[in-house]
Amino acid sequence: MRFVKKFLILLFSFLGTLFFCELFISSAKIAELSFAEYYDDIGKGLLKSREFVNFNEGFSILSTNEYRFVGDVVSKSKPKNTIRVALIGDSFVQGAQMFERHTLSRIMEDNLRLKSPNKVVEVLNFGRAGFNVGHMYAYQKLLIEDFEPDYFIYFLSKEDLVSDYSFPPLLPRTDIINDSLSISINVETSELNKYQNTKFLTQNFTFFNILNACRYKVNQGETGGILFGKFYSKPQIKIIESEHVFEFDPITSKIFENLSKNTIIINSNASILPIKVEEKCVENGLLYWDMTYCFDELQKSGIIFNEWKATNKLGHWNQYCHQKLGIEIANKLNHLLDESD
Amino acid sequence: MLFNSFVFFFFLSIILPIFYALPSKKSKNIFLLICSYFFYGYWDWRFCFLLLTSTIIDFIIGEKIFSSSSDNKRKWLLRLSLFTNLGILCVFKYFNFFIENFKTIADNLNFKLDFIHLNILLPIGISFYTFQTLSYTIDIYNKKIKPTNNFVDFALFVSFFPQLVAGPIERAKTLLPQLSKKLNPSFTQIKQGITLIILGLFRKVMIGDTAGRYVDHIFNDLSLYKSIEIIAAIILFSIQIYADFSGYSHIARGTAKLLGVELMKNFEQPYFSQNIAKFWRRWHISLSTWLRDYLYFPLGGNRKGLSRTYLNLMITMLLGGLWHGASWNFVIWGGLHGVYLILYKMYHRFQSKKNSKSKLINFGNYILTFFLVTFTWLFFRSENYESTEMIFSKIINWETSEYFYLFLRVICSYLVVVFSIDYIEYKYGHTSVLKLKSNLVIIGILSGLFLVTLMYMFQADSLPFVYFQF
Repeated sequence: MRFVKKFLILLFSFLGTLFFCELFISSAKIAELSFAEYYDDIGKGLLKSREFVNFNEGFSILSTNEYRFVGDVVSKSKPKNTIRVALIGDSFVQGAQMFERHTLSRIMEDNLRLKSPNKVVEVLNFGRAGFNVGHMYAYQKLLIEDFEPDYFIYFLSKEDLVSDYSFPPLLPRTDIINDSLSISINVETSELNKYQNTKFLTQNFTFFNILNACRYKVNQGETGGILFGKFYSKPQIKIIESEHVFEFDPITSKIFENLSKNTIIINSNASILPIKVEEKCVENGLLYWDMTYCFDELQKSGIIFNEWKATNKLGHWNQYCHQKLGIEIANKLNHLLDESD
Repeated sequence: MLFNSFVFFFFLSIILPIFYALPSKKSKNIFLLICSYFFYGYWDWRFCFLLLTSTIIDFIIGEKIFSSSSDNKRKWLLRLSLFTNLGILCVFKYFNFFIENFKTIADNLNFKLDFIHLNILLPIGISFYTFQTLSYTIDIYNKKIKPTNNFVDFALFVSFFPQLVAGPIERAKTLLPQLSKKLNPSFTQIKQGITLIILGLFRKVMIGDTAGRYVDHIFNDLSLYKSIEIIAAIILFSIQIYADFSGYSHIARGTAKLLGVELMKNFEQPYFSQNIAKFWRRWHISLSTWLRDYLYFPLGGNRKGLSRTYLNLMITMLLGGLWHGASWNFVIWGGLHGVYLILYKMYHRFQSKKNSKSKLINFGNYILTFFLVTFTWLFFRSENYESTEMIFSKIINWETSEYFYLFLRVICSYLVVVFSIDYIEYKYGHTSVLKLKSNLVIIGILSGLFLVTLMYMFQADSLPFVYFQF
């Protein structure tokens, strides 16, 4: 009995301390609660109408609307005389490292409105972290098309062209079944159960998200360096330079064939996409905009597009890159709108 | 080696058992000296030679001053000590600053001077150990202490790793006697040491570093942020620098206790000060008392009339500002504190004739002091004049942020936590947790705080201590 009493005293003081730390961590936004939720219609998506703060190489505050994507409240059906542009991409497009007001989508919208005051333009940000072309296309079919966009702009890097669904789980996916594209949600029961079991904890206690981040670091093989610093030498990974010739994966190829004619493909990296991508776009009547000159121009003016000076890290596009791309794409789009008038 | 890194705990876990097992005072001190040089050399081993040079010079000069009977010779030896120590400091810390300013003046007078701009790396902790060794020779000169004839003890006094890189700036009269005896930590010291390390680590990592992330991002590109966001960054910097430095001092004191050494308190709840004079008696105590004893008093202190007192205060604060770094921003920061102190002295002369003070006025004084101090941090943190100008412009031309309430909430959260911890420490002392009656509750609280801090440390990058750059 005495042992139980002692154990309970220890446990309560320990848990009480964790509780107070939890209150502080969540209110000071030191770590965020999970902002993901599993939905039957789109798979794992962002929480509705939430504001979330995130620190990594940058400092980001983004808010979602009731339709579970980043941005202000919009009506589902497109209002009359409105031109809607849907930006489809990964965390780069989502603006994972900055305030919403500095994201590509917001800059594009502001510039389009400025240049064409007589037009009502809405740029919707459907960027989602971890998406590749297979996820993007499925997302388009499951959610984006409901908003009746006039233009779909896909931001793709070479890596995004491979429709690999091994990670992250529970996202929408595109497959080929009977020679046609099939959209589904990647529901692996074990993954879904794992998600459902931890959902309460990750959505209510920041502590578990910190734990998750630790787990991620362990999986990345960073434990030795973190624990032993200079005493630990990281095993050298032998980089094999291969003369790999780009070949379309069958799903990606099919997706390109099925994209509507009002789709624009943009490279989301500083390096140009393989020539076959441009050829494929031409073949299927899609617009292909090579934006590598933006990255080059930034570099010439002394700005590295993915450099974050506050943290001294390289990573996502920084504010200058969003600004540059936003203005340039808005100009091109404006041209296109003028032509279509 | 950072206190807030796992490597430090790895280092500590290796050296402590060996230290405890060593039998004699001599072996313990030699071992600690080697560990201290290893700790320092972990950043850059080349700076160990600088540390050693400073140590040898002051050890010899201290002995010579003491043994010399001629006042003139003693004076020259002191000058030699000041010249070498301050010379090293000037070359490594202020050389480029002076050259740049000289060049600017020459440019304005149409003289084109192409001085060499040396790319000198600032040795970490140089300002701290220079002041520490200086106080040794000055105290010998003033016949306040006798020099030690044990080089190992003296070298350990200069390089003692818990306080080597960011203080507290210990005096020879308090630290040397401890090092000249066999270091034997008591059980109470070990308990207090562990407690101070955990509390300090929590303060540094969970409060200082996390507030610092907001500060770093916002100060990095002020043009991107709106008024409330910039105000938040200024207030959070005020919290960051306090949590960071007081957290460091806690860990330093805690680590020293584990080795059986008592270091001085460097902070006594400075943000609970009712006026700026009290603030300086509670903030970075080891530096402010050093400046008082070795600069303000020798200048005449308050013994040479009112206007001379004001001048002495101003000189002390300006040099105190410059001690922090080779930049005009630090001079402005020190100057502002000098102005505050002078104004307070003036006000105090008038105020002392009146007696009663209501609680409301007292509370107002706390707020006013915090506000004034926080305002000066702006100059401390700004990288250049343009940044400071932009901050003022952004605050005056108020822009509403869509995240107003979010930032308000963040500011309040930090203020509540920092002031709550401070209030508990104010009431019950720095190791207040140990005052609780139940040992189990103490273990529960400390292990909870330690676990949260370790987990955060594991997943986030360790930020260096702000005061390391000084």
